[in-house]
Amino acid sequence: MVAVDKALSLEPRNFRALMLKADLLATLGDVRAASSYYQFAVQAAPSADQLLPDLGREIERAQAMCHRYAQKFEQFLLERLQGTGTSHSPASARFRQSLDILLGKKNRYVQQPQAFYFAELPQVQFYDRSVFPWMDQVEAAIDAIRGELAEVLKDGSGFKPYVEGDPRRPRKEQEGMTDNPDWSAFYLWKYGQAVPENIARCPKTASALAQVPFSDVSNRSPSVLFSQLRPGARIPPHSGLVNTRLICHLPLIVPPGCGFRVGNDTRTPVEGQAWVFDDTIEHEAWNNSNRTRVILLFEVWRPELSDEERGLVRAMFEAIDEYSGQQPSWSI
Amino acid sequence: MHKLSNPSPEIDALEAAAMHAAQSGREADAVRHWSRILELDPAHVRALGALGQRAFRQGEMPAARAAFQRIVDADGTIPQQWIHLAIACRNLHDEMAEDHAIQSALRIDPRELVALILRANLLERRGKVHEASLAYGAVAAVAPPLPQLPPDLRPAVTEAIAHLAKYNRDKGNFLDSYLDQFYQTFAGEDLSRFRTSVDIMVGRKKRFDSQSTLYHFPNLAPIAFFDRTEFPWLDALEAATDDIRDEFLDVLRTEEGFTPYISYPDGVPLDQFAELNNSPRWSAFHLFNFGQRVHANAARCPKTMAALGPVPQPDQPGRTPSAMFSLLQPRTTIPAHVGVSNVRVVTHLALIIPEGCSYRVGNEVRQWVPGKAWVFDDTIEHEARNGSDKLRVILMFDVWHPHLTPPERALITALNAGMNAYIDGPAVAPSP
Repeated sequence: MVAVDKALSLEPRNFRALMLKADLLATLGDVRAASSYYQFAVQAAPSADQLLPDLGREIERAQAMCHRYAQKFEQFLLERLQGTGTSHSPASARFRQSLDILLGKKNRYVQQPQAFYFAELPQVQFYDRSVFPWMDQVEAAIDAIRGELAEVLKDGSGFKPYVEGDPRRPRKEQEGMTDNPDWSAFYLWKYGQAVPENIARCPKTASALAQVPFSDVSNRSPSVLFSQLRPGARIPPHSGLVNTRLICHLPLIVPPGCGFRVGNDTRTPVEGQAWVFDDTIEHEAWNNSNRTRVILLFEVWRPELSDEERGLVRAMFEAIDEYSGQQPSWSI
Repeated sequence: MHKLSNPSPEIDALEAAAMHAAQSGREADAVRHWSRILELDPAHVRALGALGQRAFRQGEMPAARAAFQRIVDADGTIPQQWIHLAIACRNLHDEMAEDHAIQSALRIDPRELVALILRANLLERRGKVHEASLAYGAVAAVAPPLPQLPPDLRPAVTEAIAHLAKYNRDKGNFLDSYLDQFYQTFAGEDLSRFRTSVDIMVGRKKRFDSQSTLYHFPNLAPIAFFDRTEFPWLDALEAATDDIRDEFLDVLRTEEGFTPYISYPDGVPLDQFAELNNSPRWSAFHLFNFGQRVHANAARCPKTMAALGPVPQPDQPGRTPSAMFSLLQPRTTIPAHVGVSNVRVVTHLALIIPEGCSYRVGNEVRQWVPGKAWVFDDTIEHEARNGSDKLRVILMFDVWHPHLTPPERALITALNAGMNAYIDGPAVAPSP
């Protein structure tokens, strides 16, 4: 041990010395210290292209030891926490997420808005529905909304590809989604503008949304749309533009095999059950079934923003449009 | 599509002769060979390229452009060839053709750096301020760090970054005056996080997130300095400042009980903290350390201990609570770092503050004011500086993050007890 410590004091990141120390501590039964040295050895390991063959095996061994310790640790902690009685209450969902992050079972995700970041907001993937009292009313109208959707679907001409190419700009591929009918939309409102001919076809849908606090920003928001995902299609992981709004989904037609992931939380949409999520956290959607999936999608203000702050956000985007003198391009 | 020239021994021989002539400095011979190749194969890309480059070097732009045009007509799949054509067109002031060549290069590779630079330059020459700024933004986003760039591209990328900075400055100034009437309207409200978001958008501030190194609790807002209304006990603490300072001065006279703030054994990587390790330049007098009351020290500071009584400190044996007098020696800087967990936040009560001290958390730089306290999230990058010739002293301790609910606090306490029990440390029964 003395020799190893001497080696480490000269070269704190020497992989072989770290492994020796970890093995020694493991033999002595000092689980916590051994585990942290194995972990550090994995981090300090040279990159794959400068490896000697036997070193590769040693790194695998270090990883295996880390994994073994992590499993024992997890098992112990979960048994221990079960005794507290509170670990499975809904109030502790974010605690359980913190535990999964601690145990390395989940990753941390943060907001990555591409256009505008509003500071000091909590980083929430899916929101608790109790924050949105209007949700019940929207869900209650599911049959009427679905009826109107069925009429729209009979004549498919109203749906347009969700990501449309802009001939004036270099084509961004967006991983195959540009001008791709696999993911298409029927808009009732688009970038803050009502689409009267489409609203006329869906009056009950429009009135079901009467109480919704749409995020209203001129030339940009809200959009309200039926979003259609064809069989086998997958919307690749992406993050949205601004974190001052949230997205609400009301699943309307959901065959088995559809899924949705926001950050480290993967959920299965259920017809008639809405959710609200932060689209500036990386998210993706897929339809592995052989039928089309359709949801109602719209944008609401983040509940944490005060009326004054909403007013300022509106004014700021108006200022930006005035400054640049052009229509913004802003999609979800 | 790429047109493959018919294999021809004669062309091969001519090409070899042309290369040899060029290498030997016999340029006229090289031109003669390349031209002969073009008579046999009018779409020979290397011959067109060599003759086009030569014309370009000699300032014969129409000839260079014609050669480059023939290359892309023969094979339009290589961005570099479109870029050559674009530059020749630029020199001929044919903006339409230049634009077309640039767009053609970008259609093949939207991240082609030289094409992005050319596009931004063209938009700027055409007076399209806003589009040019977006285009310069694309250059800045795509370009690798300057030292990794070929030297001939560095000036253009430096210019792009400077252009973007200026555009953002102008935009920021415009937004400030546009929004001023709204700021007046909402004068009584706390608008700080909105104003921070504008500063981040126009590049005046950076975005900072919580970066707990050991245990991260999700869904909490990353707030650098908290609003003091979240901590109703702050007033009483500040009111006790004189008593607390007097106790500290008594302790200081004895010079006993102080330990270096950072004290790691050899063999641990310290990075930016190597200089402060085991150093008296940043030292502490602990009242609580790693969750244990330090009895000998606490007994010497009864009024300070009483002032800490009502503070909601976490209870995680082996880790927290912690409370101490923190001493920063003259001309000492604590380098930027982040804390272990956002479940607890940190309070500073300023006691002895010479001129020339400052404290930064995320974007915000503040000065300690004796008798005033603040609470901040130490998992957001922070640093401290004592630029004076005198000692700086604060009372520092941790408290629960104010947005954690009582069940969450109970679970975190139980989690810590479980972790302690796991490593055979002092087992402490969890108290739900």
